[in-house]
Amino acid sequence: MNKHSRRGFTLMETLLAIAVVAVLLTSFLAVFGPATSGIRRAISVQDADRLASALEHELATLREDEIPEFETSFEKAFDWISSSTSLSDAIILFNYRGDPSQTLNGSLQPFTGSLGTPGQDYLVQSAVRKLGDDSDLEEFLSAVEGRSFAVRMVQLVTSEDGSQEPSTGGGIVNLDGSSVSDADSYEEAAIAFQAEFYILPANNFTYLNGPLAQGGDDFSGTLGNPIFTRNMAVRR
Amino acid sequence: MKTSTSKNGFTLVELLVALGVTAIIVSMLVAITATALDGYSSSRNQVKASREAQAAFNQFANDLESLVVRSGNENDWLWFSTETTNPGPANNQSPNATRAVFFTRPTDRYNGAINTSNDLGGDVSAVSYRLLYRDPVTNSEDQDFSTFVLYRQIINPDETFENLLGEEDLETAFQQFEAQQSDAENFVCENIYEFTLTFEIEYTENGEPLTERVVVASTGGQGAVDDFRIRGNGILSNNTPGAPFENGTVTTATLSVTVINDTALEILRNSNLSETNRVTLLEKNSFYFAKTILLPRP
Repeated sequence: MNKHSRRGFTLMETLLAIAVVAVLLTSFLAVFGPATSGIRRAISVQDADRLASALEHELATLREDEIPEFETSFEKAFDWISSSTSLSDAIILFNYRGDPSQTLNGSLQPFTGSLGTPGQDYLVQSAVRKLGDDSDLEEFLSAVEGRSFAVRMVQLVTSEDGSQEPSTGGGIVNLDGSSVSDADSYEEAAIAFQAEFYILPANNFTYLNGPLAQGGDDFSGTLGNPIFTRNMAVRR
Repeated sequence: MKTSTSKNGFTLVELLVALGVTAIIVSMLVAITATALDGYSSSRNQVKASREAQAAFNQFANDLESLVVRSGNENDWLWFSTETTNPGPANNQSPNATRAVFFTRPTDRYNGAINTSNDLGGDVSAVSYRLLYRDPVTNSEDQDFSTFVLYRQIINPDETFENLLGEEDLETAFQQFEAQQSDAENFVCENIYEFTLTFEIEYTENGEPLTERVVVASTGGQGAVDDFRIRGNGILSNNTPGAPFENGTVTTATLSVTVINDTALEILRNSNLSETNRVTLLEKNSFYFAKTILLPRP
């Protein structure tokens, strides 16, 4: 006698199968998500590394529009380093699309067109600006290309064991530990500092001038951990 | 004997429910797989472009940071210019390709065999950078495999001393070495669609410190030049003396590169695109990089 049992799946079996598929998909996404963000982070570190030399150069350069405020590039560097521990005065680094036919104060002016050919209508350039200055930051951010970074600069001071460590007190001090209010009263020939690069979650001026600037001194609380740090020095 | 066969098939409702569940699962799978593949492809392109750009930046920055210039003479020490014919497939050439020849102290002179019997003395070498549209394997302009390749050619110190140092026109003097520029050992990186240099110059005018940025490109405009030279007695713009920054100091060079992905390269290679379509293609398939290189101050 042939007996054929042709029973369909029960509801429980079907739900179990769906649950297994869901678990597999979730674990796939759980693996893929961090991998993608890891790649983005690695690329951001490379971007920040490339921008570090632009920061080094900017601290050694006094531009025409800065001359009323500072007498020397060292004065400017002193001001930028000592105030950069506050988010409202943070140093902002980014690449932007510059118009090769328009230069001002040694910088290509931002490319305002919506579309263009690279190398012809625009060139990607690096820019360093201080937040809080009455500068052209908003205009330049309209042409930003890629990620932007906020930089916190902390003076490197000699610790008890003779090594160079970031200052914990903020501001700039002389070798003997006495605090310094301006570049003229700083006794050394160079300021050694550690530059911490933080990824900015948004590139628009509204964010930088609003929520970011209101973050006080709390870089890590506002922007997370720095993705890149580098020790540098600026000389008189 | 009576054979009893039970052949209960699926009901229409069961079939519809099964189809519905399958459709939901399949559509979820397709959506997730498509997103994952897009993400993978995008990340791979970004990583590859970043790697190509980094190769160009590392090599170029190392050379330019050790730039050798001696003042008090009329010799060329650095010559940058735009190509008269930009590299690329017909109708889709690169918009700007700066070529460069300058003197530096590379550690890979004499193929890195410094202080061996192959070291014929001297440490100043001429290096040349050039963006060419070539098949880097066959060293030909093959229609199927050519790409935008950045080449770096190094002339060993003995040949540099004999043929290039002390020359008033580096462009002419270097012509004897141009045939070897696209040799395989000179390959730096590929898919570099555009390669442009800008220089920042500090100078004084009527006692006022000023800063100028010069773009080596054929774009026109106030700062653009086709030919830029550092000579032993000043800076030449368009190979002509008399620029306001003639006696200034070149403080930095900023290298801008546009790297395209293989999809864009394939389309540029095989299509005759309108200007609008080319711009749109580049916008979607390009990665942009820049690096400021600090030049040694005299």
